[in-house]
Formats: sequence, C-alpha cells, structure tokens
Amino acid sequence: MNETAFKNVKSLPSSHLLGTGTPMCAGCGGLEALHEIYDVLGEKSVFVNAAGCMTLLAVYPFTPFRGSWLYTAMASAPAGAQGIRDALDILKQKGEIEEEEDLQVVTLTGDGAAYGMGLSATSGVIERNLDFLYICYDNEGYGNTGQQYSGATPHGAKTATSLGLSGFAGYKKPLFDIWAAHRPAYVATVIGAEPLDLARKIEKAKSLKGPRLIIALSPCPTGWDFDPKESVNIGKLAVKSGVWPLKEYVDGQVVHTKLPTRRLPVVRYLETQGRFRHLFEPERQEGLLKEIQQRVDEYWAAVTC
Amino acid sequence: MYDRVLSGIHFMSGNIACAEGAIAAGCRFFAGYPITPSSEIAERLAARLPAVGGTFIQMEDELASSIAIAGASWGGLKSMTATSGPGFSLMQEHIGYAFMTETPVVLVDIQRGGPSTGLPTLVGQGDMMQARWGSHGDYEMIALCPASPQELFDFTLRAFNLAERFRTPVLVMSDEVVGHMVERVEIPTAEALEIVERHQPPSPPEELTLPYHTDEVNRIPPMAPAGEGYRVNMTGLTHDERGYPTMNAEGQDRLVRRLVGKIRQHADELELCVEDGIEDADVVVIAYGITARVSQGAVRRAREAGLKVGLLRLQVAWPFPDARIARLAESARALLVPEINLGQLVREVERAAHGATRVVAVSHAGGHYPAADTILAAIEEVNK
Repeated sequence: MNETAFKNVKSLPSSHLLGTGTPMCAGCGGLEALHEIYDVLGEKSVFVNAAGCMTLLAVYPFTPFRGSWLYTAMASAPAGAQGIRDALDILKQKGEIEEEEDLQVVTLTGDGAAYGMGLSATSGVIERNLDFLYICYDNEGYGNTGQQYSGATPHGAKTATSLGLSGFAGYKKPLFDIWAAHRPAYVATVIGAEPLDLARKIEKAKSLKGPRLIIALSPCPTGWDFDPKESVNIGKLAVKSGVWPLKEYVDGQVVHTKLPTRRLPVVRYLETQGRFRHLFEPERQEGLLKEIQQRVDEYWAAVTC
Repeated sequence: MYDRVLSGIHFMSGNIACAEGAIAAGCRFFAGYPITPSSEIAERLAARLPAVGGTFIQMEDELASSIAIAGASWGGLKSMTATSGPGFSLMQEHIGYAFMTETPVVLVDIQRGGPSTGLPTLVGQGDMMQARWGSHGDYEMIALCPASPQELFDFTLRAFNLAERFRTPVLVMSDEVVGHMVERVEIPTAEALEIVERHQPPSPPEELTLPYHTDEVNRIPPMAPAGEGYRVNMTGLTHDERGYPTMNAEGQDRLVRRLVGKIRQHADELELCVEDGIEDADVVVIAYGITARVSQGAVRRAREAGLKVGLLRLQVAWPFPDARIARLAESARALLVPEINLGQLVREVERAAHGATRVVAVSHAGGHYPAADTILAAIEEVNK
C-alpha cells in the first residue's frame, strides 16, 4: 500500500458519485460501503446486479448510478458480467470504442447470491479469468425477503427461519477463503465504517486485471435489529472485536490490513443487535457466548500477518 | 403451537394455512428458499416443523429445494417446498424428475406477476401453463387452485393425499392475494381428517424383484419404504419394471404411457369444482383462485340485473375438466374466462368447447385482480 493516493481520511474522495434518494433502508451498511466504493471506482463502470436488496437501488429513472445497470436472476450476475466484458472487448477489438471509453464491469450482489446460489457462476468466471470486480454486500441473511438465514449468517443469530433459543445452528461460510482458493487477482474484505482501508483496497483492485472480489460486511438495521444511527458504530465494533477481519489476498498471500492489537470482547458487538438478544435475555447463554468468542480467538491465534 | 393439528377456528393468512395444512397432512420435511410472496410458508414451517418432530431446511436455491424434497420422500417422509414464479421456473427439471421417478412430493406456487422478476409483491396467475408444461417431455400434472385461506389449508392437505395416492408430484397453484389474505380457517380435529398413507409393496424385501410392476387397473406401483431392506433403483432414465434403464423406443413408450395414463384415467376422480347457477345460464364465467372470488360478485350483480349468468369455479386446473366444459359449451351461449394472465386456461376452455360456443377471455397481465365491474361489463357485453 505504499503508492496509495489515500494517505489519510482527509484525502478520501468527496465526489459523492452515488446519487441520493434511493429506497434503501436508513442506516444501510451496504449502501454506505457502495457509496465509498463508487467514489474510488469512478463513473466509468457498469453494474451487474443479482436479485437482492440493491435491486431496489436502480428503479429507473430513480437510479443513483451515473452509468448503466443490468439486472440478472439471483444465480447469474457473474455470468451476466462475462457477457458484458466480452462484448466490450469485442467493441474495442473492432475499434468501435476507444480504450478510454472502456468500462469497469462490476458485479453487485448480496450474500444470498454470493455465498450460495451464485457461487457456481462465480467459480466459473474466475476459472475463465474474467476481468471484473465483484462486490458482495454481506448483511448476513436474505434481507430483501425478510432476513431469513443464508450461508453468511453467523452462528447463533436469530433470523426469520432460525427462531430457536440457539439461533442459527450453522457457521458463516468462509467465502473469502473459497474465493481465494480459486487464485484470482484479488480478494478483500472491507466495511463502510473503515473508509480508509476500504478506499485503499478498491484503489488496488482497480489497478489490477482479472477477477477481483470484495466482501463488504453490511450492518443491517432492519435485519440485525438496531437503531439505524448505530450502523457505523456497529461496523467499527465488528472490526475492533475481531468478528470481521479486514484482509486481502493478492499474489498468493493473505495479509491482514488492520490487526486489532487489543481486541474488544465479542459480546460488545453482539449486545448491540436484536438478532443476538436471546443470547443475553431472558438468561445469559454463557456456553454459546463462550463458543462464539472462542472461534474469534482461534481465528486470530492463527494470524501471522 | 406444538400440536400436530391446530384444531379449531382461526383467523389466518393463506400462507400460514398452507403450512398448517401440510403439517396436518403429515408433512415432516420442508426444503425451501426465500421468495416473495411465499416466504411466510417457509417461516411458519421453520418454527412449526421442529416442534412436531419434522425438519426444516433452507437450501441454497430452488434447484436444491426441489430435489431435497424428492430425497426426503424416498427417505420415507412426506415433503414439500413452496415458492413463487422465478423459483418455480428453476424447479421445473425436478418436477419432471419427480414425475418420472414417481416420487410423491408437494410444491406450492404463490403466483406473482411475471415473467422474470416481474412484480414480486403483486398478484399474477401467469404460471398456470408452466404448471402443466414447464418441464420437458410428456407428462401429466395434478394442480389444485385454492381461492381462500381455508382452501389453502384443505388443498395443501389434499395435495399430499393425492401425491401419495398417485405416486406423483402435486402442485398447489395459489396466488399472492389468496396467500396473504387473512380469513376464517376452520381446522378439523386430527381424527376427522382423511389422511392417505403410502401404498407399500405386498412382498417382503427379498421377494420384491419388480418394484415398478403395477396392476392393469390403477397402474400405480407401491413405493418401498426406506430402511426396511428393499433394494430399489430410482432413476430419471427410462426404466422397466425392475427399475433398470431401458434405452429403447418400446420401453420409453410403455413407461411414459403408463405414467401419463395413471393420472389421465383418473381424471374424473380428480375433478373438483363449484357450480353456481350454471344449469340455465346463458353466460358461464369460468375462473379459479382470487379471480373466482371476484367473479362471484360480478355474477351476483348480473343476476340481480336479470341476466342468466352462472359461475364455474375450478378447484383443480390440471387435469383440465374437458368433459364438463364440453357439456357447458352445449348449453351456454358464451363462456367467459377471467384470468390474471394474457390468456392461459382460456385456451383449454376453447379446446374443450370445440367451437360449440363463444369463448371470451377477460385478461390482465398482473399486478391486481380484475375488478368485479370489469367482469360484469364483460358479461353484459357477451350477453348483448
């Protein structure tokens, strides 16, 4: 990160390319991240959006994007991106568009598509070394249909389909590792609440060719049950508690971009959200809380860089 | 909440009633994927199934959901999934697979406006032909059309009974308005419910050599229960009575004719509809689902205005009641078919009427149900 244009928070772009007045929920952590990503990415980009919350972003003519937007079925956004990239390349080859008129092809999906239904299509485009950027806004559930659990839902969280005392029985799928195992050009985790780290990663992704994939943890007031004004605070707590490691994969190496030297207890993060309230009330579920903390501790114990 | 059958009188939405109908029928496995406007069925079953010893799984997509229920069925459980248009499209291959493998499963489609994403939160009836022809190859389908939360309870239960009786997938083709409508639902006592259980092989495991052998009358093979030692090959390939692949024209024709025939020959038994004043009617309105509810008002007002109008409410769309429509076509001056699509079951009415009377579509592509005024105006127009 030596050559970054973003030395400090003050140097972050303030262009606000993403328009206002979208129908996203107040305090949407996904929109916050997208807003910051778009400013770094620039308006010469075309978005390919799978079904999900952000399908609602671009209800024409009220689209907040400066350029084009394509909607695909839930499973197929990366495959849609393939078609667009190939078409742009053909136009360039034929000399019908100039190099400077080329567009970044950006796939935008939620965790439902990224962690589950769209994984096969993602694997396919990485295998074909597609030159594209994938942004997954990860709000850890199917937010657009009422927050049912997904492959991204954390252990113990209550969702519309994991209603028991122990919450979701599964564990959040290691999508970063799954993507990195394909050996693409770039993989990174980001969060809107850490804009400097986010901007540097998008800057790096933009400078590379090939498949580049970003997961943005997206605090979700509606699905996680918290006051929208707490969105940024909860995002910061996700990082400070070690629940959401900020890292990147590049050149075959995984590097953590923010090492929380003094991690906060995970309960500080969990207790801010209604989806974890059953872990504290009516009785504190010490066993489950301990297990969640232990998993985070084990993760960081294995981190060397 | 922990009882198998929530006997009593409830004020309940159609989607919740559907989930309760499934549990009352003995459904103990649900695999699904969230999609508006059907998600309440999954959410209800996520809470209810574990309480009655069943399993709820949220799958990674509708392909997975529609095959997981087939697996559960072969494992011995009554199983179901629920979805809406885009998910229903993805399930088509496995619907054909369930038909070919004679796997009793229930699939519920709470229809919304399509094609594609269409109108996720608004009503449609545009999947009616896909219900019949959506998978590839020749097959026959049983599809029920509830018009109220009560019928979503009753017909979901009935769908399980038919699936077991005929060893075939059965569809419940509802719509967004009926799914979200909240009405009185009366759930009988468990003892009063008629539940059809799986027909099991007459011979013990070591003697069952022809698991797909049937009698000449019903042509429905019994289904070996899992875990009792029966060894049955289950395949989507064309197969013979042993379950072995038979990759030839004779085997294909024999198998597909039997599979189609076992349903077609029972079409009379499967037929279900409500007739209202059609005996001496000049005009008969033929409708299903929410459109039939609206038609009731239009027909009543037409009668008050002195017109001879009747209503035939289809409760089963597939198999289509050909003979009944043919008889109506002999007596009525016109058949009026309101649907929330641009004309799907009206084609079947035309086919069955065979030119004997005038058939008129009252169509809308979706987003709302037709107003009673619209149907009344159409009645008055054809009555001129």
